[in-house]
Order: sequence, then C-alpha cells, then structure tokens
Amino acid sequence: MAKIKKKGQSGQAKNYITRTQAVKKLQISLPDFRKLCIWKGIYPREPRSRKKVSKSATASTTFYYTKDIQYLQHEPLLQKFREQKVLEKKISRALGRGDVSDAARLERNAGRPDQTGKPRYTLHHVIRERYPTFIDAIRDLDDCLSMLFLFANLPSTTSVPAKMIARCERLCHEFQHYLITSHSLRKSFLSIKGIYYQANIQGEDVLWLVPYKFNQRVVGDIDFRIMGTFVEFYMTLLGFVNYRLYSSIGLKYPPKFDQTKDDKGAELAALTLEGVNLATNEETTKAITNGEGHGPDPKVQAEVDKLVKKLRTESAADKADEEMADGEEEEEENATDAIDKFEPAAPGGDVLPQPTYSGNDPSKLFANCTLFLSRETPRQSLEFILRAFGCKRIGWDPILGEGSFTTDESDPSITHQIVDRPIVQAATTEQGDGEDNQTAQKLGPNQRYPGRIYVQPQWVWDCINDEELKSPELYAPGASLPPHLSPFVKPTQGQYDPTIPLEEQETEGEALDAAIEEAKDEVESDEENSEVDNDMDVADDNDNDEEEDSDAEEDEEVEDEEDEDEDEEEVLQRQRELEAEISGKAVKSKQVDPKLKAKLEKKKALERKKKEEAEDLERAKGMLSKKKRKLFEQMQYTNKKKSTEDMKLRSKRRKLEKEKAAGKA
Amino acid sequence: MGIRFGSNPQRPVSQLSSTDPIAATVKGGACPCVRACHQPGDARCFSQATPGRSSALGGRHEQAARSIRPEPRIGCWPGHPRLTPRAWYFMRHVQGFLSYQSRTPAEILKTRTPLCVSGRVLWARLAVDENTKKKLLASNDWFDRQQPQPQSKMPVLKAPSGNTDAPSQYKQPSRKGKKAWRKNVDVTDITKGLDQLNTQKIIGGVIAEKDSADLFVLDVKGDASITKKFPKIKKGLKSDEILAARSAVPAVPMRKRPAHDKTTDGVLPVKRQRKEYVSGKELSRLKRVADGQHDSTVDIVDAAFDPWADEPQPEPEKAVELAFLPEKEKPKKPKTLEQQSILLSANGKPIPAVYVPKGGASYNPDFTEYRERLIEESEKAVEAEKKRLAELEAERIKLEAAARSAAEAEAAEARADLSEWEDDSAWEGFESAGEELSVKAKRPRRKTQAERNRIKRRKEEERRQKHEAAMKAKNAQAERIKQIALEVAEKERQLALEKAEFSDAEEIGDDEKLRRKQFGRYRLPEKDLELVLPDELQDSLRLLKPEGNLLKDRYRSMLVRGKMEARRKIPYKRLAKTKITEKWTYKDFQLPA
Repeated sequence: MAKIKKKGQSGQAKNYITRTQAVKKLQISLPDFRKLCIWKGIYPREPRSRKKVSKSATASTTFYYTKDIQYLQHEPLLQKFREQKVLEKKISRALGRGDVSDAARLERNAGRPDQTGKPRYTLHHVIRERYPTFIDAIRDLDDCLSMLFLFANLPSTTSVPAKMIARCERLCHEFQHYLITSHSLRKSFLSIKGIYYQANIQGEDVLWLVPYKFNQRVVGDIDFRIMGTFVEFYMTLLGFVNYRLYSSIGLKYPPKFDQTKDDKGAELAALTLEGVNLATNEETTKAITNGEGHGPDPKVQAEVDKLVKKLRTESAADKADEEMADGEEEEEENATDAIDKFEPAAPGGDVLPQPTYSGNDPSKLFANCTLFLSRETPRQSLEFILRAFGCKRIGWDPILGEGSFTTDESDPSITHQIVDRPIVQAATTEQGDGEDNQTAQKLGPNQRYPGRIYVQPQWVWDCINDEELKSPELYAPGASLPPHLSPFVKPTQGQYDPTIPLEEQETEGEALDAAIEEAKDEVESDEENSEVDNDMDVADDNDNDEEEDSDAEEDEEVEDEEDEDEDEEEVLQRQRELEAEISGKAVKSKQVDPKLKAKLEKKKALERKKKEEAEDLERAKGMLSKKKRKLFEQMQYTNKKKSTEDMKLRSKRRKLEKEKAAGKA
Repeated sequence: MGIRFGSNPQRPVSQLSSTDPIAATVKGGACPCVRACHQPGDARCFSQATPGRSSALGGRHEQAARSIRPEPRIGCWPGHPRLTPRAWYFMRHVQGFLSYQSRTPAEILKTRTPLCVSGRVLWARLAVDENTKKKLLASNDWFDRQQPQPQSKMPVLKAPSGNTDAPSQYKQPSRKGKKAWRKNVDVTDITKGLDQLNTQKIIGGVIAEKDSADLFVLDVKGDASITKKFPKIKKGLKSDEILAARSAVPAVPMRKRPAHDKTTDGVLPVKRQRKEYVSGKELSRLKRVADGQHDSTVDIVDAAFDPWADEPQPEPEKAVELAFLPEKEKPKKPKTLEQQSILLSANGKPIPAVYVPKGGASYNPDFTEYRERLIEESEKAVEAEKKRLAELEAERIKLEAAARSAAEAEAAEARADLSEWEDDSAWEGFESAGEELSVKAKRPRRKTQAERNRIKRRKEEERRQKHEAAMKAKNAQAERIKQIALEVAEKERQLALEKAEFSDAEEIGDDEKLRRKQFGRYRLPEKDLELVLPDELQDSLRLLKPEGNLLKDRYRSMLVRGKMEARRKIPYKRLAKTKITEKWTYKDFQLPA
C-alpha cells in the first residue's frame, strides 16, 4: 500500500507561502521585504486554490513561492537590512536617552561605511543575476527609461529627493549621448501624454515615453517608497547599460560632467564625451561640443566635420567588418551599400517592413542644416532628435539655456528656424502687436530673415519618422499642419493610409472603376458641351447623380452578377434612346469610345476572375470542418467590413482629388 | 544584683534611666520643666507642681525661669501671687495649642479671652469675664488631671535617641584578688539610686511609697465646655499618620531665590560642555530614521565595470593543505524565480511596459483616428454613467420598497389596533351572522355515491389538466432549446469573430480590462482618461495641454504587470477606538439618616 499522504505537507501547501510568513521568516520589516522583492524580481503568485494553501487565507492574502523566499535568505542585501534595523534601534535608544548628538553620530557613521569598515552595499550583483545577458537588460529598458526620464522631470519634494532627480537626469543624458553618437534613434512621436522615442540598440527596439517639460504634478495616491525602489534599481541598471554601450563605441564612461554648465541649463552639453584612446578623443570631443567658440567660418567647420565624420564612418565600417568576422551582433547602420527593397509582388499584397536606411543615411538627415530654435519650442527634445539625426549646429534663444551653437538669431549660417508662433494679423500696421514686443527687439512681427526656412516643430518629427526632409511649405508658420501620425502603427494590408498616394493603395478593381467613371464623365461632359443650348441641364445633372450613386452601390457589391450589369447597360441604352427621342436627336449609342469599351471589358474579365476565385473558395470551404469554416466566414466578414470602409475612404479621397484637379484646371 | 531601693520593691533603681527628669533636675541643676515638657508620658514632673512642694525648689526654679523670660508675672495661683515658673514655662510652651495668640497670661487676662493651658497632665483654665476670673482666683482651679497629651496635628519625626554604641559589658576593671575586689567595685548605680531616693525625700517623700491619691487628683466634676472647645482627638489611621509625617530636616523654603543664586548647597554645578549642535531639522530627520524611514539602503555609484563581460571571474586559489575541503556550494537559483509575473490583463496576454501609441493619441491627430478614439472613449463614459444611474435607481427602488413595507407594517398595526377595538364589540355581546356560522361544527357523515362520483370526476379532470400543462411546458422547452441553440450559435459566432479580430492584430493585452482576481486588499486604480476634447484640440505644439499623469501611469503599469500588489497610502494609522463613558458614582451618595 502506498504511503498515506498527510494534508498540508506537500503540494500547494508547501509550494506557497503567505506574505506575513515570508516577512517573519526573513526577519525584516514589511517595507524592507517589499524593497527586496522589487530588486530581486520576486513577484506575488496566484495559487490554484487558496484554501488548499492555507486554511486561514482570505481573498486579500498575497502568496509567494516558498522557494523564492528560501532563495532570498541567502541574499547579502538581507544583512544590510538587518544592520539598518539595528541602527534604527540604536538611534531610537539614543534619542530616548536624550543624547541627540550620539544619535547623530551613529547615523553619520552608518552613512560612510568606507570609514567604519563596514561593507558597501550596491545592487551590482542583483543586476547580474536578473539580467544574465546584455540583451535581457535591453529588453527591460523600456520600463527603465520611461521611469528614469519621468523622474528626471519631476520637481524635487521630500519623497523625491533632489539628489535622485539629478542622478536620473545625468543618466538619461548619458544615454541620450550614446544614441546621438551611435545614431540609433529611429522614431519619435508627439502624443498628448508625452513624447515617445524609439531606438534600436543592438537589434532590439526600445520604446520609451518622456513627459513634456514642467508638466508633472505629484499626486497623493502613489507610493513613492515603491517608486523610489524601482528607480534605485533602474538607476543601477542604466548605469551599467550606459557603461557597456559607451565602451562598445570606444568611449570612456562616465563622461566628464561640468557642474557649472549644468547649472546654467546646458543639459546635454554639460557632458563631454571622451574616447578611450587619445586618437579618438579629439574627434569625439569636437563632435560633441556643438562647434562652440567657432573661430573659422561655420561652413568650413561643417565641411571639416563632414570629412571627419566620413573618416570615422569608414573606420567604424572597418571595425564592423572585423566584428562581423568575430561573430558579434553589432553590424547595424554602418553598411554603406544599399539594401534590397522588398516590393510587394502583386498590388495589394503584403507590404513588408522595409529594411531601414537603404538610400539616405538617417545619421545625415540634418547634417547640412544649421537650425535655430525659437524660444517657444521644446528645446530638449528638439536638440536630442536633431543631434541624433546628424545635425551638428543647433542654435537657440539664450532663454533656453546654455550650450547652443549660437544665440544670435541673425546668424547668416542658419538654414532653418523652428518657430511655433502664430502669424500676427495686425502685423501690417505700424504699431505692431503689444504681446510680441519682447521678441520684436530686432525684427518686427512676421518679419523673417531672408534665405532661411521657417518651419513648425512638427516638421522635425515628421522628417525623422519618414526619414526624409519633408517639404517645408506644409509646415510653414501659420499653415494648418498635416496630421501627425503615429510612426509605430504598422499599416495593414489594404488599409487606407492617408500618407501614401491613392494610386499605390487602391485595388485593381477600384482603379478600373475609377477609370471607367472618368471616361464616362468625359463622354457625358462632351454630351453636355454639345447640348449647351438645350434646357435639359438640370435633369441631366440629376441623371448623372443617380448614375453615380448606382455606380457607387455597384462598387460596394463585390460579387456582382455579370448579367445584371448587362441588364443595366440595356436599361441605360434605352434611357438614352428615350432622351434622344424627346430631344429629337439621333441616338448616340455607338458613341462609346474604344478606350472605355476596353476598360469595361477588362472589368468584366476581372469580375469573372473574382467569381471564379469565390467559387474555388466555396469549394475549398466545403472541405473544412464546421468550426474552421465558421471561423473563416467570420474572418471574411470582418475583412469585408474593413475593406468596404477603406474603399469608402479612398473613394472620398478620389473625389476630393478630382475636385482639386478640376479647381486647378 | 539583689540590691533594691525604695519602698517599692518592684521598681529597681537601676532601671531609672539617666534621662529621668527628676534625676536630671537634681543632678544637673537645670530647670526640670524644660525637659519634662519634652518628655511625653511622664506624669511625675507635673505632680511636683503641687503647692506644698514647689516652695522647696522655688528659688532655684525662679532663677531658671527668669533667665528664660525676665518678665513681670501675674499671679493666678491662690496661694502664690505669681505664676510658678513651671506653670509659666508650660504656658509659654504650649502656646501652640492656644487659639489665642497672646504672649503672656497678663495679656490673656487683659483681653479676657478664654484660655486653656493644656499640658500633659495639667489643665489650667483661666476665666475671662470677671466672674470667672474671681472664681478662678478664689478657688483652687489648678488641678492635675490624667489626660493624654493632645497630639499636635502633625507629629514631628525625631532622630532615634539613646545610646548608639554597640552593646558592651560593664566597664569594670578586674576584681581579681580581694583588694582589687574592694577597690574596684562600681557603685555608681547604687549611689545614683540613693541620690534619687534622697531627692525624692527632699521633694516630699518617696514617690513609690506614696499613695496614688496623693499623687493624682481625680477630676470627677469635669467641664462640659472643654469638650466643646477641644474636640476629642481621635486616634487617626496609621496610614494618615505616615502620610502626615514630616521630616525633622527643615523643608526647602518655597520662597523664590534671587536669580544669581543658582545653588542650594553653595557648590556651583560643572558647566556641561555642548558636544555638538544638532539642529531641530536634523533631529526630526533622526527621529524619522529611527522610525524606519531612511531614504536609501544601497549605494548608487557610477558603473565602473561591465557586469556582462565574458571574462571569467578569477577563482581564489585554495591553499594546498585545504584542498581536501569541499567547495562551498552557492545557493541555486530556483526555477520559480524565472517565471513571469502574473499579469492582470483579463485575457492573460502580455502587457508591455510602454504601450505603442495609436494615431489617436497624437497631439495633432488624423481626423478619422481621432474620431474613432473619441467615440470609443465617449461610449465608455456613457456606459459608466449608465451604470452609475442604474445603481442609483436600484438604490432608490430599494429605499422606496423599504419605506413602503414600513408603511404597510404601520398600517397593519393600525388595523390590528382597530380590530382590537372591534373585538371589544364581540366581548360586549354583538356578533355578526357569519361569525355564528363559522363557529358551527361540521358533523361527520357518509359520502353519497353522487358525491363520490363528483369527486372522482374532479380528480380525473385535475389529472388531465396537469398532464396537459406538463406537455405544454415540455413543448415550450423544446422550442426554447431551439432558440437557445440559435443564440449559442450566434454567441459563438460573435466570440469567434472577436477572436478572429483579435487574433490577427492584437497580441498584447489590454490594461483597462483587468482580471477579476487581483493581488492585495485594494483594487487597482482606474486608468486616467487620456483624451484631448475636440474643443481643446490644437494643431500647435506650443498650445498643447498634455493629458494624463505619467507618474500614475507608470505606477499603474507596474501593478498591472503584477510586479507588486496594489497599495493605498494610509496617511494616519488608525488608532484603537476609545469610547467615552460617564461614571455615575457621584450620584451614589447616601442621605444622612
């Protein structure tokens, strides 16, 4: 006979442990336990049956895996927590005695473990443990970056000390510097919440969200102790990630930090990158200093920069080759030769994600531009994006902080200026606008420096998302901007996409329909031209409308019967004859021009083909199981619904375009 | 010893202490009263004050008294023109007991205040008005009385008196040999006793031999007024006595001392050196640290190495002699640690840390995308509002029902009251006809055949009806089953449709629709509505009003991804509830009978 199993000694009862039990087992306080769990990545678990785990468990009891907690008992950080507990006891005892200076001494000594001989506790080993490989760390960077960028933008309070904020800010700037030098920023999106950025680091896409400046209010219902714990962990993580990334591109970590510059709001420019060896040192420092203190002509400087850049890319390419030989995974954007573009084999086919940066190098997108940011623009994000896409010379208003290429708005080297101010209507009058007096010290309102392109900030974002310099007329100050679309939403097959021209996205049938309609219109317009003297215009128009409507209906009905079509033709023919009779003219039945006829035939062929395909499908469906068939039907149903919607949108656009063309003509 | 003195054989002379007042008077020559007055419980001293005897000592005592208070005296003793020094001293001394604060008997007499000089055994009464005075002067009103000494209200503690030396033998030199025996006999106690005896004889006879009637006068008459004036002193409780005890050491004066005088004992305190100044802010911080609110436990330092570097860690070389020791095993990472946290999405699909933003979230969105989003959000809002309204309605209905039932109950009660009233009519004798009928008892009898048939028919009919109803229900159910099947098919289709819709597009979970079971006591906070309303929509970045709170967003994201359980800030810890009650003991008094 098998041994009788006792209740509560195996299975779930042994595998899970309640939070209280865990805290008691580890002999630490609950907040410390929470901290430890966050750092070590120990999460609450859900047993299949609460009652089986513990009789007294209620709905709000939190469980953990017993093995996780057992493993926690070996954690060196636990010792630290216990030491802290001892210290707390000592301090409270000293305070109870009224010996405040003794309490202060105890606290002070605990704060400098190097002098008291006690070990320092860091989270280094935890990072190694939680992210066995670098790629693991990069995959978790989304959360890390969002958190740190958020904390870097918080106002300092008692719960969020200024030291923590400064550290977050520095780490974020270091990371941004890496993205700038390695040109690995890919996309950015201005949303109502904040600015999204996407970078590609060693083949992994990293997406993070940065809040707009000066917008964060600290609300009460957030546990800052927990957030602070996460931030502590992520600060350590990002420090290591930065170290690794910097050393991977031959830079020294940590970069030199200039406190005075940072105090003046230099942000990115407060950090000076240094190469590991001397030869690279000069280049990099030059590249980062924003061409400050430019004695020579900026154009010459730009050329020199370009040369240097070229040299560097070549050397980098060489390096990359070597690395590829070594089997490393760092072989991204430095390939200079063009990559094949995947074209859809058939129209309306799968649009594959194109290999990025085939023709124009995104790292040189703004390389030839010298930009100037007006004071109402978001400088931090613009500077970062522009630099990441190759802009070397960015000037801005002195109000926006230090570190600009130039603060002089009238600098002749400026090619683009980013403004976000409406055109003042009263500008033509001599007095000018009262509001704009501050900025109008040099130039009147609406006055522009010649030889310079003025754009709104969205231009920069749209440029980098489309990897090309967009035409600036669309983004001129005062112009109504085109919609800012999310670059992260992948267009699905056959879906209406407002950014692509109509010809690229319409289906064959639609194109044919459009052509036929056009041809008909032409014919009718000819007719109308010939019937100018007649008083039938209004009726004619009505007829045309009806025809169009019926056409539209036809479009919607995908599986139209051929004979029906023919019937309609006959009906139309008859109507025409009737009209001719009334007007007393010869029947223009043979007026259908050969082009139209060919198209009509083509359409018929297409429809026949479609019908055949549908029949094939029907036959194939018969082979499927009932369940699968239903699923398939539903899929078809939804697809049809979507495609009709898209078709409507496209037809609307076609109409608009046609009207526009007519207006132009 | 065997040697006894005096006529009273029960009283050995040796037992007479050296502090015996009489002996001391004789020997030392000081006023015996001075001591006697301080010695409680000794009656003899005042017995000396009897008229017959005082003359013998008169001169000497006068001397002593004069030295104390050289004041003219007034006689108040029938045989003596002046107060005896002893009596005078006594009067002076017991002034503490006098309600009257005069210094001398003359004053007392002058002011005509009743005076009672009370000593241990002597009760002296001085009349105030002329009659009393005369009476006092005429009669022998000084008499001795056996009275316990009235206690002062606060007995004064005294240091223990007597010999404090260690107990010793007689200080008697050796008496070895006959000569030494004769020479060195210590006869002090004998001589002392003899002296005492002599003294007693001089004073008026050996006390021990005297009759107690000679020594004491029994006051049989008494005075009713005295008891009134001096309320009977009750022996208090021991505890009260202890509590009332005061130290012989004088109390520290309560008077305010001058500012410059910082000491009581004349020794200046050592000025404590202030070691280190700790500001109030620092102190409060320390208090917080002691309370467990330290800012950080770990150090965040600049990264100085690559944790993912491939180079192997150099192993510490073991000494050759320790090579036999087994390697210390490192704790193995459990497999459970690798498991993903439990996501709170309703469909269990992975939730990304940062959601990929849709086009509708753009600051300058495309119209169609924005409209879609707006419709979606507004539908959600409408749904929520509907739910809220439904809840309100349900609440209202519930309340109404409760009110109605309460009203009904009230009405029923009222009716019951009314019927009670009607019952009275029955009691009074009026009854309706129906009531009379119901009272009539049913008489048992046999059923007729017709009746039996009728019953049978009725039963048959009932059975048939029942069967028909059952059949009808069955048919209806069959119909219903068909309908349900249709509905299920429709639902399935819908589900599959949703599935199909989701399957091709969405691989990520929704962070708004959450699973029912969550961690911890508190529900997850609702997601903020992140939508710019149409009238606030701007196409300029400068005019953009950012929506949503990123802090909350991040916090919620952590919770939704199951990294921890939801918490809520508790600003104040809840204390144990205290209930205030009133004691009614002040009402528990008793009326005097």
